[in-house]
Amino acid sequence: MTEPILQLESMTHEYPGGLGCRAVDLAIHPGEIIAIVGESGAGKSTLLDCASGRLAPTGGRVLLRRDEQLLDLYTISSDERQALLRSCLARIHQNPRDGIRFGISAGGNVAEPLLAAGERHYGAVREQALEWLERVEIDRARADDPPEQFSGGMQQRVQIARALVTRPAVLLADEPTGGLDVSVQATLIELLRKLVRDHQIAMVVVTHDLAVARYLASRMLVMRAGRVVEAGLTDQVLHDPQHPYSQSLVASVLRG
Amino acid sequence: MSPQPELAYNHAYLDEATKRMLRRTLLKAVAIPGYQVPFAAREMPLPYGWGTGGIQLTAALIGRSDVLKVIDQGDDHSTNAVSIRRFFERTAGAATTTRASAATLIQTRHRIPETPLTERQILVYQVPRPDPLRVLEDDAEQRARMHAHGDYGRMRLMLYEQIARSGRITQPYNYPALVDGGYLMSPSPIPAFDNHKLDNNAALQVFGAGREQRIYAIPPYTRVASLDFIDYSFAPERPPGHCSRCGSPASYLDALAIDDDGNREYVCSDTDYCQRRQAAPPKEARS
Repeated sequence: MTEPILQLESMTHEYPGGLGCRAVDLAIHPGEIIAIVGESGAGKSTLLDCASGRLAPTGGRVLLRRDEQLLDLYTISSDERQALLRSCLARIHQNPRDGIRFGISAGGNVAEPLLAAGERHYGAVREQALEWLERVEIDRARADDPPEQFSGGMQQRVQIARALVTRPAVLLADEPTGGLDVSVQATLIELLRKLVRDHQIAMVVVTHDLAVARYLASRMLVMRAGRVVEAGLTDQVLHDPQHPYSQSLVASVLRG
Repeated sequence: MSPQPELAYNHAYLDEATKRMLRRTLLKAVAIPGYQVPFAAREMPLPYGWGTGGIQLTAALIGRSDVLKVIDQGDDHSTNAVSIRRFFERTAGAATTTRASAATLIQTRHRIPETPLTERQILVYQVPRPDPLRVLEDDAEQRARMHAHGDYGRMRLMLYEQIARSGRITQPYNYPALVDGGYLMSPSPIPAFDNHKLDNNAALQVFGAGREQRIYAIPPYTRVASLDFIDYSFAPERPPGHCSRCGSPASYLDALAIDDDGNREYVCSDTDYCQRRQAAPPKEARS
């Protein structure tokens, strides 16, 4: 059994005005996919913000493993945190506008994390960017086009290439297929699953779509009002939900 | 003979407390090469964009024995250069010159003199936009964080995009450079051609941005590296050919329109350098 790559230990974030997420425990291993489901306002995005180093939790710890060492994301210096996040963790946003730059070419968007990581050879950067665009099924010939000219599904694929080009150990995805039509969703989910499996990436995917959770994730967490109300193997939770909220959630989709 | 300063003003116009504040800021700027130090810029009797930052630095630095040269785009005789020179003649009784080698203090806009500078000289730059990251990021707090982390990937991305689009780096002026491997700085809108003169220069180089209220500096003999790629190295362009007046094959040239048919004449932008070469042409130019 490998050690977990990302660990949340009774992580809590409370906003001044009210709830964020409370006492969340989570451990994810390389190559594993965990889904977090729940209604809007359940604290899913707050959880991702804290886990991705953008928002300091008000309680608990976020631990990330690098070279056999477990580092507390919010006690290391901001320099170390930046370097750690850059090399180990990537995030995909629901809205491509939050994850890619629209004023920069698609290839440039994929190249940026490499340049930020210190790659100084243009040819090498470019080749890697083009390879990753191909991996997400975008033609090399479109590499110098701005993402503005792309469809929503293509923009999301650029975002995936940009997130994975530095081969992060952990990928945090926030509704990666939200706002896309169903057939595009299906191919995108399949692509994501393949890439995550091929590169042994640990992925946390936040979704309100139980079908996405079922298809991708081996384990899932159900959140409500900032708390994890149920956690377990995906099949188990979906077929035999224990918590009343999970039951209503599952019933609302699977009925009929 | 030095002109007599006008007595209605303190030496070099600014009051002593303000000059002390500026000098303290300068010391900090020299101590942290390339770092933009905030300062409380004063109103100066010239509009923003005309060198209010540079003129404050010159006022803080100029002493009784200093000899001042002021250039604008390499030219000693433009309105801006003449006005600032006269300003210090009147308020500081300063001796002035157009000869780069005779000056102890040179205030400049958009150029570095062709004549190599010495340890006895200080070069004062007028800077419109001190933060090179301003074109990339609107949020000042975020920019400060990027500088603190040496997070300059987005600037390299700008160069990447130029190569992807044009096959080469096309940044013609204000070419970003790393000071002593640390902070990224704006060299002010000097042509990229001048960037190599920033590097390991014997003179102290100080930069003043009046509107943005920032001062930064390059101490003498400091490494200044223009950003580039291993396979696309920094190679700034110069208009081809020789100066039509002094014959220089190496100086930075301005294009002058000489008729209505689009014909152009190329002349040195550094007027002092050009005139001295015309007065005493070196051997290689005569042949």
